[in-house]
Parts: sequence; C-alpha cells; structure tokens
Amino acid sequence: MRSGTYIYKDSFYHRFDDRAKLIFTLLFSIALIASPSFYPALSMMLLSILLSLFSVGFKESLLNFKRILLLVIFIIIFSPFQKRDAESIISIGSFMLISRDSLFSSVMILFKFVGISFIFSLLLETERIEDIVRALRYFHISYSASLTISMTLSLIPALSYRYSEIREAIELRKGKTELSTLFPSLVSLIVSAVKLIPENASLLEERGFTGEERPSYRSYGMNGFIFTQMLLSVIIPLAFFLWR
Amino acid sequence: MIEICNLELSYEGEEKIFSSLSLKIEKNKPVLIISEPGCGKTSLAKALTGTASKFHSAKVSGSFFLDSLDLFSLDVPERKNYVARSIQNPDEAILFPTVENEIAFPLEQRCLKREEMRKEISLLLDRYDLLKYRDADTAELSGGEKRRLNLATLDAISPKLFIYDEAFDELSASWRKRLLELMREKEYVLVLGSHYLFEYENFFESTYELCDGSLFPYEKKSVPFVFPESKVGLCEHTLEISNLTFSQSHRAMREKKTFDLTVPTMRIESGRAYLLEGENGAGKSTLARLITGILEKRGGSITYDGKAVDEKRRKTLVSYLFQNPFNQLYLPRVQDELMSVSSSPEEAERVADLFSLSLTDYTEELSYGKAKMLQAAIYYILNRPFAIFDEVDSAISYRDTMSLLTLYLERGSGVLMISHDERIISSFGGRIYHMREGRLE
Repeated sequence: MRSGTYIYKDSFYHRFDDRAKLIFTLLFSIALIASPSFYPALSMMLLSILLSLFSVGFKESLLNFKRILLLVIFIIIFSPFQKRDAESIISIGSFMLISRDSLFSSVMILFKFVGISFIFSLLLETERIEDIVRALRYFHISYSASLTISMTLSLIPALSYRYSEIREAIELRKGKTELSTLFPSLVSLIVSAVKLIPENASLLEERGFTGEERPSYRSYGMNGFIFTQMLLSVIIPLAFFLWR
Repeated sequence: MIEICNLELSYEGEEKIFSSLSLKIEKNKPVLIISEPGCGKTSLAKALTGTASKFHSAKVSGSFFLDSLDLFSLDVPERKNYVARSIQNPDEAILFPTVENEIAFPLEQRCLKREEMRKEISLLLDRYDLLKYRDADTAELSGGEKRRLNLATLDAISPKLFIYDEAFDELSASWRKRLLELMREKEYVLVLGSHYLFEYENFFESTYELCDGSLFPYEKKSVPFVFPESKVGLCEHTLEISNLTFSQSHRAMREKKTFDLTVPTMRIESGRAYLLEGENGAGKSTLARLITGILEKRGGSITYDGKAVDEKRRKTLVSYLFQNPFNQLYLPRVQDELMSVSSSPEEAERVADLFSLSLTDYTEELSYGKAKMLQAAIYYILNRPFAIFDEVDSAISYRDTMSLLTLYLERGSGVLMISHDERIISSFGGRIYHMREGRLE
C-alpha cells in the first residue's frame, strides 16, 4: 500500500507552481548545506519553519518537528563532543565537556537538519506525488527515474503507517508496547519492506510497465506567473548562498 | 476460447501445488473456482499472469492458450493485454497514493491519448462510485472502497480474461450484485473464491472445486447453513455504548467533507453474537476501532459492567480482528505468533490444531485465509470478554467462519461480527445492527 503526505489547503505555497517549488526546494537545501555562517543558517531554518506554519498550520508543523525530534536530541547530545582541541566553554576539572567550536558546529548541524527536513516535508505536504513526477518529467528526468522517485516518496509514509499498525497490533495483544517488542516490530517492518520489492515489481509489470517512456495523463495549463515564480525560486536561495 | 492444459506449479523446495490442472473458459461463460484457503487459488492466478515464475521463483509448466495464441510465450507486461487479475489483499494492490493516479497508471501504459485517459478515468471512477474520492489518499479509503479501486484498475488494464481473486470480499451486498452485472460485460471471466456466495446463484456457466491440486465439478452442499446459537446464560459482562460521536476528514481531498459517526446506543453482552452490517465506507471499521480504543471518541460514553472504561483499558477487553490480517501479524513464524500469547508450548500446539494451522509455517507466506485463522487463534488464546470480527468471513469458508464463531462463543466471548454476506445476515440468530452513513440503527 502507498500513502501520501499531501494536505489540501489554499495557502500561498500550495499555489506556487510545482516546477518552481521543486527548484526552490533543491536550491534552498544546497544553500543551507553550504552555508558556513550562523545568521544565514538560522534565517533559512526560521524561513522554512515559517513557511510550514503558514502553509500547513501549527498542528502539522508540530507533527513534522516531532518526527525529527529523536534525531535532534541525538545531535544535541553527541555533537558537542566532536572537537576536543578547541577553546573550552564547560569543563569538569581537566576534562573539557563542550568547546566553543563544537557548540558552533552542533548548532549549525541542527539548523541545517531542521531546515532541510521542514522544506522537504513542506514539498510533500503541499504537492501531490503525481505533480512532483510531472515536474520531474518537465525537467526531462526519465519516466522510469520519475516513477522510482514517486514510489520511494510514497513508500516512506506507507512504511511509517505499517510500523504504527504493528505497534497497534502489539498494544492490542499485550495491552502496552514494551521496549522488548521494538526489535520484532522493526524486523517485521524490514521484512515487509523487502517483500514489497518483488510485489511492486510484479504489480508494475502486471499493469503493463516495461520501462519505456509513456504519455502522462497530467499536463501543465497556462501559468502567467511561472517566470516570476521560477525567478523567486532561484533568487531567494542564491541570496542566502551569497550571504556569508 | 481460453484453454489451460496440464498446468503444474511448484515453489522452490516445496511440493507441487497443481499436478495436472486443466480448464476451459468460453467467451461470455464465466467460470467459478471454489477452494479452502491455502489450496492455490492465488498461485493459479499468478501462474496465469506470469508473475509466479518471474517474481516468486515458481516452476510453472503446461499450456495456456487464447484461441491459437500461446500466452505462456508472452512476458508479463505483454500478457496483461490478454490476462490480468484483481489482487486478493486490497492493501497490497495499491501502488500510488492518489485514487486517480492508481487508475491512470495502466491507462498510461496503454499509451492512450491524454483526453482519452481523462475520459476513461472519469468513467471508471463513476462505474465504481469513486468519483468523490478522485483526489483522496488511497490509504484513507475503507476496505470496500480499496477493493473497488482495485477493480477499477483491473478494468483500466482491460484484458481479455479477467481473473477475480476473492474480489467479492469486503464489498457490500449491493456492490456484489453490481460486480456480477459488470462481469457480464467482460469476454472471459474466472472468479476464485473461498465460499459459494448467495449472489453466485445462476450466474456461472461452470463451477469447480480446487482440491489437492486438481479441479473437480463443484457439488453444492445440501447441508443447510446453520448459524451457531448464542450462548445464552454466559452473560457475565456487558459493554455499553451511548451517544458515541466521532468525526474525521480526508486530508488530501479538495472537498473537505467530514465523516461523522454517531452511535446513539449499543450493547454487547459476553457469550452472545451480534452482527454489524452496512454499505462500504459506512463506518463499520471505524466503530470497531472506537470500541477497541484505537481511535479516540469525540463524545459519549463506553462502559464495561456499568463503569466507564478508557481507551487503554478497552484494548485489553476487546479482541479486534483487523480486516487485513497481515496488519496484525509481526513475528516470523506461526509458532512465534502463538507463543507470544500462550502460557506454554502445549497450549500453542493445541490451538494451532484447533485452527488448522501449522506451527512451522512462516507468517509472510501464509495465504490470506490462513492469516485470518492465525489472527483468530491469537485472540482465542488471549480469551477476552469481547471480540470484533471485521469481515472475518472473507477468504475463509463458511465452515471455518462458523467454527471460529462457535469457539469464541463457547469461551463466553461476546462477538460482534462485521459482515456483508447475505447468507450470514439472513441466517443470523442474534441481534443485527445496521450502519447507515455513519449512524448506527
């Protein structure tokens, strides 16, 4: 089974052209990854959060944050231990706990991770998968590659759905979800994911897929603002990229 | 004419499933094959579409002809012009996250013009009453709606031979009749089922029973269908629902129509059987999830022996057998699944016998029907005062359905059965609840 993350709303970002949005997401992510300075990275993270709040609302934005919370905690806990030979900020006796450089680098990792997660989540929440495929094909990405990307994008929420079903099944059976059941549920999830490979290949071929280029049932209508939107999609990330 | 001769099939390292299966299907003369779960119906469908040998390392031999065309000589994508199947597990059949996209894919593979595709999509959505779900997320559809989507996709492939693998399961009575009407329009039809439905009467030209790898003419059982009596006198516990309300909406849909569920009053006593029926998407499974505590109610009360019980407690009071059994199984083997709830290996062994299961089987390799039996066996061991069977009768025989119900009732469980089966509904002895567009009557 597949599942999408698209949420129907009428926000500014929803109305933004899918091709421009795809370009914006990619350039924004590159600019954020490449950003070496504190303020540009912070601004970009805040922009992605603001866009999310205005496009899908507080509840969905909070859910997006909850999904990455565990990784955020790991970054906060482990990153400060990285650079041992820099200026110390906190130390216990002669043991340096956190250095200035390691604190800076962990904050930067955090900004980049949160910003990229939000901007990609936003793409999937404001565009249907088939529209992302349409945009990819517009940029001459091959039919097979676009299909693979679309199936992968819809597989992630589907596996997350499957995982929640397993946890639900365990809770119904045991009355609670114990830590000891985490391993079997993860194994079951991996088995399901592996099983999906021949099943999906089989289903695709049974519906006639050969890998050859095929016409799409979706097309682009007239969009008078596409040039402006494309321009914005390039200028905004570029401005951040040049801000050092 | 479709002609299958001396079909043999075996999976790697396993015994032959068919030894010399032969079958003829004539134009406009639909054929029905009935068998117990795990006898090879789905394997037969996979062998004919070519996926058994290509994707499941099965050895297939014999011949399969449409008039003079050797279908076994064609690769899967080419063969789909002549033969295609509906998938038994509707969850497994879905490839795309949007209803429209799911139907569009086979049309794109047929290289239709864009306008033709759009017309065809609308036509198929209308035919299967899915127009309102055009932009809906496929994961948010009910079981019956997923089934209809799968059938619409099959029509979009447009083969000569349509194989319907347990396609009537999860469909409401009115949709079962409609599906038969739609089948009349197809050239060649092969239906695979686990029991002889009430609706099949006078439809099929020939009916066979698949048993021990061979086909035999099906003999209609003369034994009257007897529903087990409720175990009156065992009423020790009561689950009462009053003024229950719940609402949800499809998040991907342009039209934000909220689905509202209301249950003015409902009472389930242990040791008694109840039946819940209604159209697809009426809210039967949602009600089951609310009773079990998987979903959180918006208003109203649910009490157990007169005392209010929260979601967490209800999870331990009510056994809920999901519509799709595989969503409830997560351990590698049948033995592991049963041992996860048994107090001893002997108990697991005894229950496996009772539910006709083999302890050494791998759960992922079980047939849909066998998975249902395992799901029922797990909750049988847990022995809770109440149980909800969500369309447990699909993919298993009437005999097995009745034996499951009897086993649970004998233990003193109050069983709420969700079913679309006219035969079960008409002969049901207990109280019947009707769900109409989210309202329990």
